[in-house]
Amino acid sequence: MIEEVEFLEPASVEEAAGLLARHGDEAKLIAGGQTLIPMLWQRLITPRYLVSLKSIAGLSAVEKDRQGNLLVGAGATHRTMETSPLVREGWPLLAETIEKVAAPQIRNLGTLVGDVCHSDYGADPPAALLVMEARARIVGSGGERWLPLDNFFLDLYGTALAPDEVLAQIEIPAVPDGAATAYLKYCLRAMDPAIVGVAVMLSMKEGRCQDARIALNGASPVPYRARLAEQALKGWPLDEGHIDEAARLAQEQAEPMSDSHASAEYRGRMVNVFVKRALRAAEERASR
Amino acid sequence: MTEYQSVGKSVTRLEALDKVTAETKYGVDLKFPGMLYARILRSPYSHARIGRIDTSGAAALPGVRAILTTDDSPPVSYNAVYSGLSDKFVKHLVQDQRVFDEVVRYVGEPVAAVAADDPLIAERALELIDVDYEPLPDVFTPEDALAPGAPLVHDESPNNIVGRPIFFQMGDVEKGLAEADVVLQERYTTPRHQGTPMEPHVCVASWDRQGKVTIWTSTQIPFRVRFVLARVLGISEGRIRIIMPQVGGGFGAKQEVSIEPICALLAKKAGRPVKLELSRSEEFACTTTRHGAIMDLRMGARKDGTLTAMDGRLILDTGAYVAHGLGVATLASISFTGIYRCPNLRYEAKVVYTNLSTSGALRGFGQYQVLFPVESHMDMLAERLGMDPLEIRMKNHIQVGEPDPRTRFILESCGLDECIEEGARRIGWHKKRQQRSEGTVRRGIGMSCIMDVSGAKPFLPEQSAAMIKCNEDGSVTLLTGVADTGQGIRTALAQIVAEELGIGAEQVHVTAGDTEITPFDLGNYASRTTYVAGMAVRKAAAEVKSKLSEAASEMLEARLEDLVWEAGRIYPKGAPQKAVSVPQVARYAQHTKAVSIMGTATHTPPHNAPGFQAHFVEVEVDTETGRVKVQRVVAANDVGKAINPQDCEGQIEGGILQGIGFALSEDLRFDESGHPINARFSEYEVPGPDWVPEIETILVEPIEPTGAYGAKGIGDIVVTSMAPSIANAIYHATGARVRRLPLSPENVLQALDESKGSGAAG
Amino acid sequence: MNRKRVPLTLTVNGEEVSLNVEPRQTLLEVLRDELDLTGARRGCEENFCGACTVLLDGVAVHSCSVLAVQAQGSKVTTVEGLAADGRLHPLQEAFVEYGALQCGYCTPGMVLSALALLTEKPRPTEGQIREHLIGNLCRCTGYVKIIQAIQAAAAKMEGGAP
Repeated sequence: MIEEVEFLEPASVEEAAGLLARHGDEAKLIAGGQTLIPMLWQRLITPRYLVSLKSIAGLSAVEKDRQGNLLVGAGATHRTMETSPLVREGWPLLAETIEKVAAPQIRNLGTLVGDVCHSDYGADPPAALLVMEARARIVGSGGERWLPLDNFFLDLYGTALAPDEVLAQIEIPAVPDGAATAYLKYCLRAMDPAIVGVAVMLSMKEGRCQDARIALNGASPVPYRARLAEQALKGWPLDEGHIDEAARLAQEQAEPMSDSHASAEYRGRMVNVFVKRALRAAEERASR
Repeated sequence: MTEYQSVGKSVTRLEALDKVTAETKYGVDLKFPGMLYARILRSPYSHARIGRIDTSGAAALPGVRAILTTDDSPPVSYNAVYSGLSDKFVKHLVQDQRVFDEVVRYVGEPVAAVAADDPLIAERALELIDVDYEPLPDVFTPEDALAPGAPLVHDESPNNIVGRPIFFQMGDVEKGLAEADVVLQERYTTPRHQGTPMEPHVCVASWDRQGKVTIWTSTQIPFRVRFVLARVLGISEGRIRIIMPQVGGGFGAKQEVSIEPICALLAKKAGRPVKLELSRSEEFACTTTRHGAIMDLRMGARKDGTLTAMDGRLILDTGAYVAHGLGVATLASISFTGIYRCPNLRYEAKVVYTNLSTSGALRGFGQYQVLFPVESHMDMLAERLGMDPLEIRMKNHIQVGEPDPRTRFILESCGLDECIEEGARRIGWHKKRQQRSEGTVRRGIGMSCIMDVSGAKPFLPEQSAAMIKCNEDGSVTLLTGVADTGQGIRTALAQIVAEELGIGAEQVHVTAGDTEITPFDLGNYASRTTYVAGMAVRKAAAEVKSKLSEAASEMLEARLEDLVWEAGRIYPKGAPQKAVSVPQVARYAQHTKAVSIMGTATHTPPHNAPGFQAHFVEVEVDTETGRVKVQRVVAANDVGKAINPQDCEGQIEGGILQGIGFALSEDLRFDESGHPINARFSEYEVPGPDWVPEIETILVEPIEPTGAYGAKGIGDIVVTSMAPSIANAIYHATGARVRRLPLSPENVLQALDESKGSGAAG
Repeated sequence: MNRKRVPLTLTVNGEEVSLNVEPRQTLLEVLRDELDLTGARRGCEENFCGACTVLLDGVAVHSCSVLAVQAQGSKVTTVEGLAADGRLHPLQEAFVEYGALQCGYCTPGMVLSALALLTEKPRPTEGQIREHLIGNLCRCTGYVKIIQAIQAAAAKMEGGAP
């Protein structure tokens, strides 16, 4: 049962950051609330203040900037992206990922930025965002900074956000011409978090891999880019030997954990299986 | 087959309109003036002695109206399912439970309870109660609990074994094994499953000034709750009224006294109505589960497939208290010995205490833990003998006219051959069995057969009663003690009454599950209600019919024996133009003849009319991940006469999906301190709609002479087939045999690794 | 019990409602405890089972995981608002006809989830229905008849029924 709480509705991100600075540990940001509210119910946390982002004008926008980047505001729901032709056409990996997030009810209210900030290792969006080399615009009471998402996830549920900072927007660069992408999620029920989720972006030229980006969630306490695996593919055809090697390197990098859905050992093994499958899926799309 | 006007028709649920518009009120919807809200403080220790409990902080919190602790616990021990036992069994009854004990024996056992003006105050109050726990050594697996020197869960039970092992033997097992051409011995394990009815347990209690308590509770067994509460509260049954509101699912999970004593005691202490609702995590962690089990099974067969011996040793993990433990062990003995004819049988079951939550009833009661082993074994025996799995089953299964070895009841109806043949035909068994799948994702096909009793005779004094009163509009009101938790029993009983009287089922008003108003019934368990209560209702309806005939005879000035009943009208033989309707006769009886027409009956069935099924599955096994997907199910069920075919299908489809969850993923697990690991829907994997295979149901309807219109039970049996059918299909697809449930990706992958290691072929 | 309340205005089943709620109250609690709309039900407390599904501005949400104050100014539809002029909604009719309910606890949430789907995709495939319903658990029916009922209702609604 949720404890008594005050619901604060700042008019700007700066004001929200100011409220966080003032109330410290006693305040929590709330966007869609889809992860937060169940935590409040179970009394895992009992903040005195909820600072809502919903009242901030313009924060729910999903739009393209002049440089061709996709900008996703902290209030933008999964549904907004799921139904956005802009996202579907320009960032198909994001669309493919969002469709696999939990259930429609949750996507209708939950936000992409919220998923990133909660940094649950089984959440789907981080792998895709890492592969697309997204950046976060972070607003604190002292000002604003930009941070590549690659440097955002620090440890289990821990991020680079300071207590008084708000992740206001995520910037996703345009997908390189000709790059093929895929996100494979392995879980037993569609509603579940990923046991392993693998996002791949692949550029092929004359049968050889020009560029490969691979990122995983579920596999470790934090989502990560499998850079050694990526290196092992560059310049080579995607034959069985190279795919096996990439999968082996990605698995080696994983620090899998045990939870109710899978043991650490099994997770590690699935990293190997699904990196291979994701590479093959992307390659197939690349060759179309 | 006889054509009936109501029985055998898919009559719409009586309460369907109310359910689809949310007019139906569940226990969670009840509110009374002045009602308080309760919460339970639960032990964080798996085994501990309770020392001082300081409630002063909680008592000082404004809005707190009553607090209960060990000091308020009635000085009696009880068994949460005790009732309806014949005297012979009562002396063996283990009464090991208290409302609040000085020793807690599992994580989540109640230590104290609070009633307050609202739920938030009650939750805050719990945080202010200070308890001194003295931790005691604990034990979490039955194997550890049976080891010499293991900590004792109950001091009175040396070796942690409840009572004496359940034992049955017939013939000479060693001799039978010696005569066999093939002998197989294996160990199987099955996990703890949670029933997870969608509505969590809820109870409202309210006392009057005469010392009488009314309790609205989400139970499957209102009369048995009354019986146990009488002992716990120290008052007689007549001072307790149990009312079942609509209950949001049970499946066995609501088949024992659980939160009612705490709720009643809080209401008494506070002098106000009290409502107690469990959270979903309490539901997972603190209500009963299926008994986890280990079974060592030896079976022998001759070259022609004839079974020569079955020897099963079962260990059931009952958790902290016995509750249904001995009942499951006993009913499992029928499941084990009943389905296949075998001259040499031995069955032994030990019910073992551990420091985990109490195990209890769950759909598939007494079958699940023994038939996954037996049906896996049957396939392996068939393979060793070069036989088709269907052939070995058809050769050995019990036939009409044969006695059950355990109960000595003679089988009077059996549609199993038809289930097997028709199921095999529809799924394309003979062709698909020949196909061998290759590659990463492999397909396979498997099946199993299950037999299950309708009711718990001879172990319980099975009985149901019914009262029917005729209203002056010709409709009738049926009072029945049965518990409708969603399976649709009220509609089925209304159809039986309607059939008997030649009226529409909508003309039968049903009041069920109120111990003050309705006659006695043992409750909703063991697939018994259509079979037992159905006959009680039919008898009561026959009495109403005969009294209506008397009135009609007077009204028509015709001799009783000359009256013809036809489609709700009555006329003297040869004179249909004189026909009067049931409403006319009812009105005549009430207002002219001045007689109230009523019928009453009690029924105790002569035996337990087993139902049968053959369930076929096609699966896909991903050999890299170990993941199994069920693609198609053909489910053939001998249900006796299907009173309501649509509801029968619904039972089968729902049972199959539960069965798929029980088989593939569901497994309530605990960490090394006895805390549940996956006590949430997000972590305990019940199937969602994305798991639904193509399901084809086949109703096979041999007439069971001891059931109303030939009906038998259907509720329990339907969940049991999926685990052995899927395990057999996995073997067919991959050559890997999985003997540990669930058939989860990890367990399947392990079996695949082992089968590769051993060089076994698919 | 003098906890702080704040004003809230909602349009519930077409009718504007103004009341004072605690910011800690979920939409589910406000619907059930303050407005006596018991069709929304608690089956868990973790945004999973879907028994509490209602429509918020036309889309399905788990009302256990929305604070009432977050719904300020929104339109809420509960199962109580579906039957118009004493006539069942075609989805409700189909659930009755196909026997798509047993204990009935999950039924209102299922019906509303299905309604959200049919509003967006009037003729969904069986696969789309399953995908859409993953946020609604049912433990009784095995979903088979629920899926059939939704298909039947879709056909009926497209044929011009309300």
